[in-house]
Amino acid sequence: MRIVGLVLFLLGVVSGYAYSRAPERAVVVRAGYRVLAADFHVHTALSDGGLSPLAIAAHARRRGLDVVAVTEHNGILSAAIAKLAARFVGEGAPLVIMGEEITTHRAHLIAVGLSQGIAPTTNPRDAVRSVHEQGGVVIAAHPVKRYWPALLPVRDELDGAEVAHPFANPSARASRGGWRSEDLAAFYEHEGRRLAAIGSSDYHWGAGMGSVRTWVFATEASERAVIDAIRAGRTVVRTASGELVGEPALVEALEREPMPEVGVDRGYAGVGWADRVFRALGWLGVVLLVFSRRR
Amino acid sequence: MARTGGRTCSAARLLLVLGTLVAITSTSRLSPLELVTSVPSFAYVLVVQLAGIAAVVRALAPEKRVLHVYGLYLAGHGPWLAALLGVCAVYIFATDPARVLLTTAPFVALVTAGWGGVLTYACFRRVVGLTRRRAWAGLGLFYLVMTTCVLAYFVVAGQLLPILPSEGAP
Repeated sequence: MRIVGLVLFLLGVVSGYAYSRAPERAVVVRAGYRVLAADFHVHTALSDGGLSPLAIAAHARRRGLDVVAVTEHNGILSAAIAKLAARFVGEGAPLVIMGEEITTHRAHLIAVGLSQGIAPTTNPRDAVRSVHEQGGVVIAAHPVKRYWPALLPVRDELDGAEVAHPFANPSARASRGGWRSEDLAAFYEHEGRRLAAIGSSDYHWGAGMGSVRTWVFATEASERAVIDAIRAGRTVVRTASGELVGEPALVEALEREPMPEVGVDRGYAGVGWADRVFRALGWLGVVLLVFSRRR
Repeated sequence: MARTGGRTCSAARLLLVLGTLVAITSTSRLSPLELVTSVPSFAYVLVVQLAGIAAVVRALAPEKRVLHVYGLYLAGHGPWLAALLGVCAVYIFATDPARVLLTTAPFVALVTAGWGGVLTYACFRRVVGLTRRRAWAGLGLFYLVMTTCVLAYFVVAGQLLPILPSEGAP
């Protein structure tokens, strides 16, 4: 039984490799800029995530991302490991940018483009200053109403705000803790001033990395160009309602020539009958390996 | 007797299932990269469990060998392995895995934790030879040490204390 299990398991691994290959990606240019698909809010297994930092870059490539910022809670170790591991991904490896989710009970801030960690502080102004001193940008992470008291006083010093997030939806309760998409939108465009529109998956577990993403209009595919684009507000995001949000001229450019949408394969659908059969056989192989007894 | 080989097999089984869980939930397949890289990431689970068993044996049955008890404890992981492989099955066979997990996960987690607790209690009674009262104390100590280890990691990593509302914070 163990031999059968081992064979099925290996079959599952081989087909898993074959069917999980990264899609071909073309260079996309709109409005004179290189358009990069980015996810600026990703966690790893070194905190409350599931994927090892070693697998982040390869997984991001598979999800059709050009840029991924690893933003662990109050630390940059996983980001450093992920950046190092990205060197071994090979052709088409996404740009891995070191970041941190500066996490306190008052608010969460995403710092992107760091070389050193930022100590968690309950004073967002100190955090913003420290990130800017390193040449990075600061994004308000899921700015729901309960974070506004801490975030509003420093809003004009921020570079971007998450306006799309997988948890945020229009039907969320309007209570202080509710993840209302309207609150994210209201923070993004507050009193007539817009921040850079950011859409992030806040990836922890599962298949959702890049399910919510930011289109960055950069001059080239480099970390500096991506950070400059955020600072200049050259981003566009598709919200949960399907609306494009961001710099109006760039939104118009994407409405004229839309970007390809990326679906999330959460199982079952697969890419054909062989994929569905082999993944099921692979799972059965693990079951046999785990539960069959040695004679 | 828990042989070294049996202990290693049990540990490898747990890591295989954790790797399978990560690979299937993230790619819906046994993709090798996710499978392999999750082994070092989740090896802490074994270390934390070993620390829990070591604390119980040292405190309540110092004449027993820690690794021997640990090997037999690992052999009682069946409920967790079954539950985690069940989650994988949901990701492979269900049309809407999130909906299925949201409705079943609390019940499954409760049953699995209860069943796992019963097996750990039985391990302390039969393998370590503790009385009922001491076996209950051992169970409490075991979960306390494991929880403390995990919380200590998050404290050292600077991820826990900043999210706790502090008195007098601005």
